[in-house]
Amino acid sequence: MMNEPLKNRFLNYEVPPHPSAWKTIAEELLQHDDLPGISKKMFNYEAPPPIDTWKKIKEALLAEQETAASPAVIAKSFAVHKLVAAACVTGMLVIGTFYISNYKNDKFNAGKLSETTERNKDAAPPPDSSKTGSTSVEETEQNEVAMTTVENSLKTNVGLNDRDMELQTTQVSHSLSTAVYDPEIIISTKPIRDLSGEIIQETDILDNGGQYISITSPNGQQTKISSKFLHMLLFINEDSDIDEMEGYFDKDLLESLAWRSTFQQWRNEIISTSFVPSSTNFMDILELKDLITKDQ
Amino acid sequence: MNIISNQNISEFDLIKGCLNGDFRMQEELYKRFSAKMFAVCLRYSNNNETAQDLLQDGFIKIFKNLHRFRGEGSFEGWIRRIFVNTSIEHYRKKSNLFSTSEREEVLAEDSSLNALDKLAEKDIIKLVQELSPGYRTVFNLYAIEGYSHKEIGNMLNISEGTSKSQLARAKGILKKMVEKFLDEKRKSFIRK
Repeated sequence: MMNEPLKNRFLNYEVPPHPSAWKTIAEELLQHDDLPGISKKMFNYEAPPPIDTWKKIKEALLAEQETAASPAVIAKSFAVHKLVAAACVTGMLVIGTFYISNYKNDKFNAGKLSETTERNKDAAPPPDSSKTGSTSVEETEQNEVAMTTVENSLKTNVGLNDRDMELQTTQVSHSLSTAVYDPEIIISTKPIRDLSGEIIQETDILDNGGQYISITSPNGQQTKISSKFLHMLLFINEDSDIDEMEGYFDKDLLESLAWRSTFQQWRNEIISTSFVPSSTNFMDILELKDLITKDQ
Repeated sequence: MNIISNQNISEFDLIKGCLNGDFRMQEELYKRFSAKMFAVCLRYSNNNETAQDLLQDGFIKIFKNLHRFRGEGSFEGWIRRIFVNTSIEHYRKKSNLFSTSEREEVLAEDSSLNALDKLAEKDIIKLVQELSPGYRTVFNLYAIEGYSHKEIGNMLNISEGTSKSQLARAKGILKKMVEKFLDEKRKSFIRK
């Protein structure tokens, strides 16, 4: 008995019920016996409903569906309002970005142009400010039209959303602005030429604040000297401004022609002899003095 | 007029179609169960118009709650339960299901109803419809649907004892009604 598994012990375990249990069950059975066959008879009984009942049920179901669908319509219209509001905000941001970008570029280019103008004041003809201003306004208008066209094209053909539109239009705006406000800057500096018309100076070498000029000596070596000698050198070299220079010299010296002849003589002497002026030592002027006075 | 349904459609397809909102399937389900359920509604109501309203409400409930049917037990049983509950709810909302007069009513007579078995279903329904809502509900639930007094007590929110006494009174009234009905029938037969 002790070795029998617990499972089997409980499986076969019996407990006698209370003696009144059967009495209760018997009473219940008797009560049901009062209604013999009625349950079976009535349970499966079928009574055809009126013909229009299904029509009414269908109408009620459709009405239910419509009622259930109406909040969705409200939600949809709400979503449309949200989309419109979002589109307006995006549009304002794009336009704002566009104008800010234009304003910055205007300022930048205005500064750039004024700087260039000042730098090339002497060398290049001054820019026509009125013309530049009108061109800028025209180009801004063209730019806006181009922006609108590009925006519409993107919306229509590519079907971009507002976020993409913003990115695209910002990029287009930037590229258009760059294209319009970066004109080619031409600095025209008057070159210095020798007698044969060859350019003997690089323009950037002369850009030293106007204090010095560079000259090339007969041996080809370049030397910087004070710009005070410029007019004299031009005069000696019989440059194109010789008439103006002559008037200047004549007014002060009244001997321009005589001196020109003298200078020409000295030049011929220098060229015909082995005299070479030094770029580093000013004492060669004594040698020049001996050379030009030896015939006197 | 009998409603003929297409028995080739399986119950599974019927449920699936109704869940997808297919009106043809919903109509098919209606055709298949409407006659049985209308009989249920007639038993729980006091006239045809109310029974028709109950039938409509019951089917709408079924179509709206069909996703809750888990397939445990019979589909017809689930539908029947909905119609029974719809009927109970209808009278519970309308008025107190068990009025004071009904509770205080005492039936001294024996309430054996062997005579009911001799009547046709249509006549039984007519007699049952004449009972007050409380008696009619308990009688239907106990004598026809097969619920125990404990279950009826839970369903109607009354005690088990109240359910028993309501049934006893319902049976007493029905017995008188059956006797009267049979007597009138016998008299009309003799006249003919």
